[in-house]
Amino acid sequence: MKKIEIIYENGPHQWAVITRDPEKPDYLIDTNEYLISYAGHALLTDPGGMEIFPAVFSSISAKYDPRNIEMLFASHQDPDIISSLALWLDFNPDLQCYLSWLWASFIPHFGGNADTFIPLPDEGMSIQLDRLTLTAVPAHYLHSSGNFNLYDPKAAILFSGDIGAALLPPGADGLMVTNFDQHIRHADGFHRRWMGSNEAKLDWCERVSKLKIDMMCPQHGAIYQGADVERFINWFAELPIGVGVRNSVKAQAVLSALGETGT
Amino acid sequence: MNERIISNEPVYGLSLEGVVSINEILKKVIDIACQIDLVALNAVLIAKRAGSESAGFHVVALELRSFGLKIEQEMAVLERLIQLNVLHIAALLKLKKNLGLLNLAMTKSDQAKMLLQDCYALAEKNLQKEMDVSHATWDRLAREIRSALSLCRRGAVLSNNGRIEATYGKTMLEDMQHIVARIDEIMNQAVNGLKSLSETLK
Repeated sequence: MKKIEIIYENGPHQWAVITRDPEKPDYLIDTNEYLISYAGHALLTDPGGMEIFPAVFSSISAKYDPRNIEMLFASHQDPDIISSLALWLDFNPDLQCYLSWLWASFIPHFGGNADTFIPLPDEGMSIQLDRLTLTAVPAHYLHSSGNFNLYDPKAAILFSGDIGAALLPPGADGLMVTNFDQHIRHADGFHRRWMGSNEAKLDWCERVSKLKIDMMCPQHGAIYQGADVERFINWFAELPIGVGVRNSVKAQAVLSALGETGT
Repeated sequence: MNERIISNEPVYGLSLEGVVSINEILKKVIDIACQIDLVALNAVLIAKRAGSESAGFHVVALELRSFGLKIEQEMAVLERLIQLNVLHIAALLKLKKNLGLLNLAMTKSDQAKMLLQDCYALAEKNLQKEMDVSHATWDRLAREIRSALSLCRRGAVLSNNGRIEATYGKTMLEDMQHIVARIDEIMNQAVNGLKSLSETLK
């Protein structure tokens, strides 16, 4: 079963992360779902795939009443992000799902109807959760062409979707980043391959570097805190991206020349 | 095809909404019942301060302390069981969804029906298996709730004994009565919550 852990609490305002399922099969990538709640109203970010719905739902219900979840926020369109939508809607047909306008007619293939979706314009917009104002921050092409982060200025937390994600091996999978240099090695390949546009990357780095961020919370891997947030932004700004394919093709060619097979 | 299984109606009364409602009531009962340990600790301290004048209250306070630990253990079992229950019912929802989609595809043509029937049968078998597990967990939860209820009733008897012994409390009488009243209040809330759940689960 997935664990649920509170990462921020200030009166009626909380952030909890649902993460690290020891029973998850190896062929499924581990995901972090974040539940933002304010005075009994809640929003769930990237609720995950259909396969993990039972684990996510039961973990949430251990600490929160899932009937209080009024909104879903989908950073982009991938199956590990939002393919559980139909099940969430079975539980609560009134749920509203925020996502890029680009995917508003694609995501209904997972479920939902015209009333379910609130399309986010490219420039982003505010999302009101009771008296808490959240902001959908554009992160297009990082990696999806219609991609958003979610910023909570009051908690100074940025949900960064796939940006900052890391594929952590067992034993190095703590919830928080504690050694940036060691951690970032597990993020390197992911960003080189999945992030496609250098221009979009620099645009994002500039945009988020103006925000006050105490915690940067990705959908996979560990959470960056304090100075590690700025370290990540600087590291990402310098990282050559969109070259993952070229590198893996080169590696494949070398292996073939040596008479070996690569993956 | 088993229309009962694939319909949107809860199967044998098991729905995600239903289990969430029960879960929320149980969480409140667990929160309340787990306060007993702290109140019992206060009772022990007060009895110690009262000295030999309240030997009887001291005995009851020690009993309450050990009762508090038992309650905590029982509540931990309930906590684990309700989480398992939610997990299984959510898994059922997922399997039912799959089965419903297969069923819909099979209604489209005779050929689809023929091609998908093995697949449907397997999905139905998996659903039935999950349903059996859900029922077993559900039954265990109902048993544990009954057992917690009887434990809490014993707690109510203990608190009654405490009330009697508190009358010998002399200078500490007020403190002892206050503690006993709090234990009474906790036990009543826990018993009422568990009673209503036990009725619901019948």
